Amino acid sequence: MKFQIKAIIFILLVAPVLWSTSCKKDKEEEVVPATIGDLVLEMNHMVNNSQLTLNTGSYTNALGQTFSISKFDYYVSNIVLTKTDGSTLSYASGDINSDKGYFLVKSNEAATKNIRLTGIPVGDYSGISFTIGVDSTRNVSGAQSGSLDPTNGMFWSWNTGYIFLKLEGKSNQSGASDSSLVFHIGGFKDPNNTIRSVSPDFNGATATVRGNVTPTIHVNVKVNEMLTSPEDIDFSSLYFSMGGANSVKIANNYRDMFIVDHIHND
Amino acid sequence: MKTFLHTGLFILLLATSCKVDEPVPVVMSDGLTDADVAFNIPAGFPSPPYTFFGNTPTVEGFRLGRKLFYDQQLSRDNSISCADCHQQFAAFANLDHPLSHGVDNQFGVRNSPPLFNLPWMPGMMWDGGVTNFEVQPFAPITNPVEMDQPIPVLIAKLNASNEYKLLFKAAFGDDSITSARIFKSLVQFMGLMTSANSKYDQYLKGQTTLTTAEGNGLNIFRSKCASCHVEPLLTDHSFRSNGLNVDAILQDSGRATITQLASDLYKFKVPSLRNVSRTWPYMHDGRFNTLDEVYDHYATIDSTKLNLDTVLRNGIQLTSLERSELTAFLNTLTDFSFINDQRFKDPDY
Repeated sequence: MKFQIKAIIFILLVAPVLWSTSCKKDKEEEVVPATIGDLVLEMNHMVNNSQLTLNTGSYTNALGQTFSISKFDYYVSNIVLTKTDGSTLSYASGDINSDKGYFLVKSNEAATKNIRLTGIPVGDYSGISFTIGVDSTRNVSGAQSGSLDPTNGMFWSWNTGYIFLKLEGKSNQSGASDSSLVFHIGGFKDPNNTIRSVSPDFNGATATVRGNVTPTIHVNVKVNEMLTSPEDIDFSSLYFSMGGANSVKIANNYRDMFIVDHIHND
Repeated sequence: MKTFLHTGLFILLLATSCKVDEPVPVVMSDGLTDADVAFNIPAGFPSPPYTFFGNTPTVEGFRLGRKLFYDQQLSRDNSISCADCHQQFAAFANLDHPLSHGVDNQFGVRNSPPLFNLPWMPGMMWDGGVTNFEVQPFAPITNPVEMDQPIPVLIAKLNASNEYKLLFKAAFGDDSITSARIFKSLVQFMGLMTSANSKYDQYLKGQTTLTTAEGNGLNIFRSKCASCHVEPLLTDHSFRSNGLNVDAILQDSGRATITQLASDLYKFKVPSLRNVSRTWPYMHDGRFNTLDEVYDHYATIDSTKLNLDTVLRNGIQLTSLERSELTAFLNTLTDFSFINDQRFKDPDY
């Protein structure tokens, strides 16, 4: 009997301790010089030289046509960082079941405009490149999750593949009866492949990743560049595109849309 | 006292294991075994493009997929399930419906195709627009003229059901319900619908003999049909125009809808002829009710039709005797073990 009581006391006192220690997953790191850090890409959406304001902002394209924007969403993927020594780092996961490295930026969700790259080796980075959209492999890789969930509104179910970028809005000059502008850019097969990779210039600046320094690369995303150079988009004739040759025109236009404004190292 | 001690020990065991595993109360009487959900490539079949990579069928995944397939909750107004347009007795086609029939009595624009040997299909749908099997269910569930069901709404419906939570947990390890899990489980179910045990298959394996008429029909088939309906899948998965008049109302561009190429206008996928006697009406818009109407069409093809397939330039001429023999052969393609397979039946009936 005495033994049993002791046993019960033991169980009641010790069990919670065992439980708490056995369940702890993240052990404290010992203090050693950090080998990795984080880096943030901060997307700042602009039209001409104004901040993008959904629905209420009024803007003018290169042809003088006025328009408003109700939606501006896009994928950023296949990010590659270049160190000052010329070596490169690909921020991706080899795991086809992981969405790591695939970011869906939505202009009406502030958090998505900060793309946080984690586990970046400490070092000085002087360049970046990324894909606007999703590579062809992931366009045909089946039911995926997270940012690549086909139900995020960025996937065509009838002609399967990701929508790389959506711009929707209104213009009185639109040829559509409801004045709408609908540009859903996507397609990964020739001749209407709209996968575009860009390498916005750091202009001599460096992003210094340290254990206690998370650089922030401020990127101005100039939506108006989608609608001009090399080809001006005339809303009276081109107000709707869901893949195809017209989407290729717009994808060619938006290659110069991303501009590194400045880099904070703090 | 002893009981108290045991209870204490039990709590200790429970606590140290970290994870509190609830007992699984669902005891299924369907008798499914691992062998029932093993994906096998029938002798003579090529390697399929869809390999179930990362989605190996399990009893629990298959069972969940089957429940979803037969569940009318997949439609916006809970009125139709996948099985309404894909009926097992019709080799999972929709018998007697030229065009698929959706919520609010809306009609789709195409004939709902049979479901079998799907992992071998490089592109789903009549126009091949769906390039991976796992995202195929997304299209009919969300299509406004079919089930018209946004996936987040479907997930909310399923989350309200304890039965589904248990089924998802059994299939995927926890009860989180996601689009990927819905699609993958549906694919585990549909992907196992292999049809490879018709009389024709048994004949190829030397297990049975064909009648004289069936044998003559096979020879006719091989000389006049098999260049597109390639054995043993009885399709080459290509897109071709067989010279049908373009329906004035539907104005269906076919493969060109996907490729936007003028050279693909009015082309549709060559369908497999397996189970063909069970899958009428025929063609992408279900315009023909009988094989004889199909033969009539092939006999009278207008050779000036845009993008008409070159092999059909002169049509296909058959005597009435040849027609009856070809039909006798096509009837040997019905796979009765498939259309009666207990695994694929509605589990609630």
